[in-house]
Amino acid sequence: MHQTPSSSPLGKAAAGAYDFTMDLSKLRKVESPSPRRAAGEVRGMVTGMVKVNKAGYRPKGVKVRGEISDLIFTAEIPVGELEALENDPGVASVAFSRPLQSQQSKRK
Amino acid sequence: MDIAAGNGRGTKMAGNAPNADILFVEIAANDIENSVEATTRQSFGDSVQMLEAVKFIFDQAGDRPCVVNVSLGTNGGPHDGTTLVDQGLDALVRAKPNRAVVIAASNSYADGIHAAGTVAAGGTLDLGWRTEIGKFGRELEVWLPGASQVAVELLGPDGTSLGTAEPGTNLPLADGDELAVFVSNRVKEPNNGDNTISIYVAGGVPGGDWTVRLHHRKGPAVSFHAWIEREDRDQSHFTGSLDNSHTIGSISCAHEVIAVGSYDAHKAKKPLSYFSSAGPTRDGRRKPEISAPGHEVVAARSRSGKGTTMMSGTSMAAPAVTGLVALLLAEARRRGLQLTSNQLRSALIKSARLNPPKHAAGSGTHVMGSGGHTLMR
Repeated sequence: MHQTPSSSPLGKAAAGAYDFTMDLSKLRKVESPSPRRAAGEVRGMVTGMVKVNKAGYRPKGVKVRGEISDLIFTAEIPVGELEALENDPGVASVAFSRPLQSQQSKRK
Repeated sequence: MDIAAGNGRGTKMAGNAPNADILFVEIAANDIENSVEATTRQSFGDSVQMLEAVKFIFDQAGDRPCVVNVSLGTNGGPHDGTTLVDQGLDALVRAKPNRAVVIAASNSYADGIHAAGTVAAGGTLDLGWRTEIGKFGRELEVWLPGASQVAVELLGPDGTSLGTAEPGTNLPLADGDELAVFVSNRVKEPNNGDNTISIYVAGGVPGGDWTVRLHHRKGPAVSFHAWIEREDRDQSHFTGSLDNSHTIGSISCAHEVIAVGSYDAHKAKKPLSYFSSAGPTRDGRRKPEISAPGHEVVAARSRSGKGTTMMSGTSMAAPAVTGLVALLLAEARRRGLQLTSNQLRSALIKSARLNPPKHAAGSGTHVMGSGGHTLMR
């Protein structure tokens, strides 16, 4: 990791070297997460937001954290449930949390 | 908080709405399971927690008028108000009258974090991306129309091509047994139908001038916008001439929020602060709506020894507007008015001074977002 690409060209990651449990090419309802998260191996639970097509509908398999509106809620989502959400016609889209930073510039 | 609603006992200068009730929500990272590194190593939380915090505050306010100040942001995202966090903020504001969310516009105007252009039919376009060897990794996103067919090739600092990701594919690159670079070329976002290219360069990967080469594959020419994610400890940036437009923070692009820029109130001409992020949004809306003093502002601060601090940033400007909105809402309540967020926004902008005065509506949008509306405190 500490050599330049010219002396150690990066190679294509071997199949199976990384567990892309959130391959976004397959999860069409998932909003593009931050590149860092897209690159990461994610297991277990992810925190995010879910938008549904019908007011009040809450899909099974996710733990609702907070009700934002009739159509949008925040949730803990088991990674294993993402495919079910993908195939659930009642689910419009899913988004993973993105880190936020303060907008303070500098101290004087 | 002091700038919005302080009582002045510490700073000798009260905030704009010193009689407002204050509710403060600290967004902690420790209630998020499986948080990514970027969340857990800093204390400003994430988009889910922010949305829940805004909901909590509105719930506590009940039917009382309420304005929420948010001084958080991120560079990544579509900048068109379509993300679920944008939609969530809009839904919360629209749920009741006499509600508002004020968000700091961001401090990335001079950071070289935005680029835009058009990839000619059958052609290529290079984006230069300068990075240092950093510990924390770098992130870049390119947003393109959904109908476009554009492949992305990444070239390392020595000019070596590291591979190409065609539309709908990923390109994971390893150095030994560690993931070094991850490129994703995604089609049809669920919320806006656009395509997204995202690139992550892991911490420890050698720095230098990388090239992100966009290859047009078919169809008409394709216009795009690209952003580099903020990383204060190791900010990477685009090379070439700066395009400072569209540097407004992503969550400031929600339709119902009021985005606030910063100006330097210490100078006679009240210029915008060099760091104050500019609009418009990617879908062409004028933001920030308004600017306020955010340059070397004194405010209360605990554990500072003297009770105050001097800081700059749109985080110092936004609460000035938040305090004014609180006053507006108080007056609306006194008169029995039920104001929508658009009415509030209009009232705020009407009360502002245009700076410079010669700016006509529609001019200066590159910098000011909204034709140069500047709030004079």
